[in-house]
Amino acid sequence: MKELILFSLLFIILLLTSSACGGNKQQKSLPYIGHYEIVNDKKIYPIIRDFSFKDQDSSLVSKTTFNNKIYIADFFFINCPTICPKVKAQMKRVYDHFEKEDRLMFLSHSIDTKYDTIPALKKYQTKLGVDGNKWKFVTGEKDSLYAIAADYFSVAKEDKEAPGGFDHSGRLLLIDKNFHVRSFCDGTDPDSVNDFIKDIEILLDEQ
Amino acid sequence: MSNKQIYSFSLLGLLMGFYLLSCADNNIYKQGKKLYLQHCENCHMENGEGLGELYPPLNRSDYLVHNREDLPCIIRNGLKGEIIVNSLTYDLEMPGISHLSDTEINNLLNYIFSAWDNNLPPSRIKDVQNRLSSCPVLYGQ
Repeated sequence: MKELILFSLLFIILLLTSSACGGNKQQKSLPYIGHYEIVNDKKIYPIIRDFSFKDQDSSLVSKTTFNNKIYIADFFFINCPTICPKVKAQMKRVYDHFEKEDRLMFLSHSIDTKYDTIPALKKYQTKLGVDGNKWKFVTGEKDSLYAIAADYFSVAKEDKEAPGGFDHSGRLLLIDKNFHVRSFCDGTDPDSVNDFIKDIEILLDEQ
Repeated sequence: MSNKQIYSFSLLGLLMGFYLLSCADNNIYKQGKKLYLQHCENCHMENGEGLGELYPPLNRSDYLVHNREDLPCIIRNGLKGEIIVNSLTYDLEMPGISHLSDTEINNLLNYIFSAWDNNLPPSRIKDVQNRLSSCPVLYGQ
């Protein structure tokens, strides 16, 4: 009899802990990505540096553009013979998934400052099937574009050996309204992007 | 032959059968598929669907039907300028894959012709060789 009570107790405890874990999963919060500094006993995570770029409509794009929004960032160039088209196809999938979500924006940095002019970016946007103001395709000072890639944990540089003349990573990055990087995925891998979409939903709930 | 041996043989036979079945793929053009994944899939996508009006589809593409004879040279030398595919205009440059042999190009074409919803007549190596021996002179060449 004693044993029976003990087992029932154990069973109840198990049930309670497992349901608590399940609950946690539902309200999972996203980590902050990057090396933190400790200031006054608080962890300070890195943020994206200030920037000033021009988009496909010649409008200025800076941090103010993303005021109170979260956004997804990537790096690409139009005549990219390697991973860019795949990454763009996945980014477009994310864009279509959140078509009606006003709190989310998209920021694609072109790293080919010579050929990807503002009119070329405008045409690219149209041909990709994107309209409106939610997705910014930007160009700017070469040095600023290459430097800011580091804040997004991405690589962007000229490399004559690389196909198309540029070396860059195919990551999609999720940035919160305080300009912290909160999630990223491999833009060439649809499964990784599926998880990323879930992370975007979590962050939208949180903000 | 003992019962035991018969059992072992039938088991072996079964295993081999399963192995062969697991190898079976809908598309018989193995090398063509490999080349597609290596050289074409980035832009034309996994199921040949392309992307927007940037990269034309290869699945259910009228361009493949109407320009069938130009395809070997396009694969080898690339394509520049406007083309119309299924009533949409595309004008991004396609780089050529100059190092592919005639046979590889033929295998690649056969994969594309029979992949996804495509069901085009197979490409023949003789025709491909003929076309490749007289590719039009392209820009800058």
